[in-house]
Amino acid sequence: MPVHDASWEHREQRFGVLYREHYRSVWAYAVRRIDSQADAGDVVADVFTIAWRRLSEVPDPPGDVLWLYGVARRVLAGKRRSARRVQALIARMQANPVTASTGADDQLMDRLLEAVARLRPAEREAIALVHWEQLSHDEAARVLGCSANAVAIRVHRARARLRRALAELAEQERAQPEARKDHAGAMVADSPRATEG
Amino acid sequence: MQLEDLLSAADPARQVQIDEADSPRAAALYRRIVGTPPNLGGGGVPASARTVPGRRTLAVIGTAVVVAAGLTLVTLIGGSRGPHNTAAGGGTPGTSPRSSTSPRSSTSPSPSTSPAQPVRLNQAGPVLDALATVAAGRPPATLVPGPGEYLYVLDVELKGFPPGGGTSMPCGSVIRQEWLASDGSGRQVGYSPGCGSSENRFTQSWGAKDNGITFDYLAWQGLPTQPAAMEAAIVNRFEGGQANNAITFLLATGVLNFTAPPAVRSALFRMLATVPGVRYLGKVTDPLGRTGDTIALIQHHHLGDIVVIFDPKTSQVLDEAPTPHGGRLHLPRQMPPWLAPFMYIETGIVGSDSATPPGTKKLLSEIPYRHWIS
Repeated sequence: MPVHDASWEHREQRFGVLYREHYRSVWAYAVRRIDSQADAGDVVADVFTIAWRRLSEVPDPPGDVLWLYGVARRVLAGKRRSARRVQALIARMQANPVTASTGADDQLMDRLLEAVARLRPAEREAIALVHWEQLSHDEAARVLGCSANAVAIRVHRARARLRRALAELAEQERAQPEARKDHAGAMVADSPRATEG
Repeated sequence: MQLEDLLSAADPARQVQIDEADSPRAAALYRRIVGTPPNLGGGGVPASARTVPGRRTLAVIGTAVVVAAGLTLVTLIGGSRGPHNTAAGGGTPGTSPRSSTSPRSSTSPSPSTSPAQPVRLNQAGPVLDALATVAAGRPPATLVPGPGEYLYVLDVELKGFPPGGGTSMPCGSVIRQEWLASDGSGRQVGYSPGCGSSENRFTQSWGAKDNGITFDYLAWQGLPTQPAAMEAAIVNRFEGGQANNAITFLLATGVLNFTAPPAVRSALFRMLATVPGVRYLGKVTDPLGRTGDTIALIQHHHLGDIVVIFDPKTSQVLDEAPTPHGGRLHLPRQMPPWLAPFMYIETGIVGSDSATPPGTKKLLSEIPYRHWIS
């Protein structure tokens, strides 16, 4: 027979607020770090399940969302262990059809995201927390379990690497405007299969 | 444009539609966690409407091995193909196959500039033909779980060192075991020796309906064995009638290849010879010392390529690795450190979701994972 008391009511009410306030933030956190929408959904489910089980450990606002991000970070680490990147590839393909990425701006964004993906993990996470989750260095440090100074250094390094990557892109554009216009065509021409079919 | 502005514009969360907390999906998740319908307005819920929350483990779709990949793949493909369909676990398989004798239309994301036809567009044909011949001569499929049985898969995902620095996984390599029932439910346990002791083991389980589909191995047994007809069936059934080279490639080298009978597997290889972008990259030896034929799908865009290594003696998949190389893939004979493959080590049918095929424990003890941690 179910038993429901005041503490249960209070617990559920608190969780409901947490869920309502931060459901979208946790989703956004996940989709920024994992290619597959399905996997992002799993991350959200895992994060809030953990939050429900460990509700007494969740700090009051504004620290609650930082706590959730911290949980999401650990869940994602596990998810990456188990994630099959092929699935992620499919999900990305469905979310971002190739034909949608033909404009210069899209290519620039693609290049930037590639550069972000190639950052060292600690730098990538720091710059994502600061730029995408829009956390302060202090807040990001709480999520990452490091000092604000360390966050600042990582963000600084990440920005430098990203600027270099974009500069290289600009340089390539100047050097090979035609090649960039039709990168796929160039690749096919390089391939032995250029004459096939 | 400033870097900060570019980063904001490139925010992946801005490229997708994220549900509100009161959306049906969010409400369903809330109900699964708490055991009651949500009242996200902040008020209480009548006690009569509740049940005590059990020690429910959220059933999540397994994401590790090739068969589970097929589950999610089919789930993903099964739903609407709209750009914002994010129905994790939702959707139904496409049921309106388009009549098509040439499914690989020019609208597919093919690197080829020519309209696709069911002709050989790639240069992997001879190797795929050889694999098809081997597959046709193999014993009937034994990896189809019957009632009360499970398909067991043991694989190791190696940590890679991609160009530009960093690693593919924060904790290093993962040893993973998975048990899949015929209805699609299953369980997965993993061990990542490089993680801290509190995080180095993980378990996931999922139910039959969590994928939004009925996972029916038997349906695959009846796929056409004529390559063009098979391709049309795959495109119509799994790709919504619009050919997608990557999905065709993944199905043909993954879930179907693992569980289909010899004639179907043979046709899968012959069909692959018609898929644009498929290339033969030569023989490669993986870290376990297994040498196989490398078949790759070269995609020519930022999503990178997919590499699958087949055992030429058995036609079975040895390794699989998505790579970020975007068509510039040249594999040396020894697998390079930037390639982080899934190495399939053991498969078999077992009688429970914790049993392993004979000899697996010895195999596990022999995996030289300590060399792959850092």
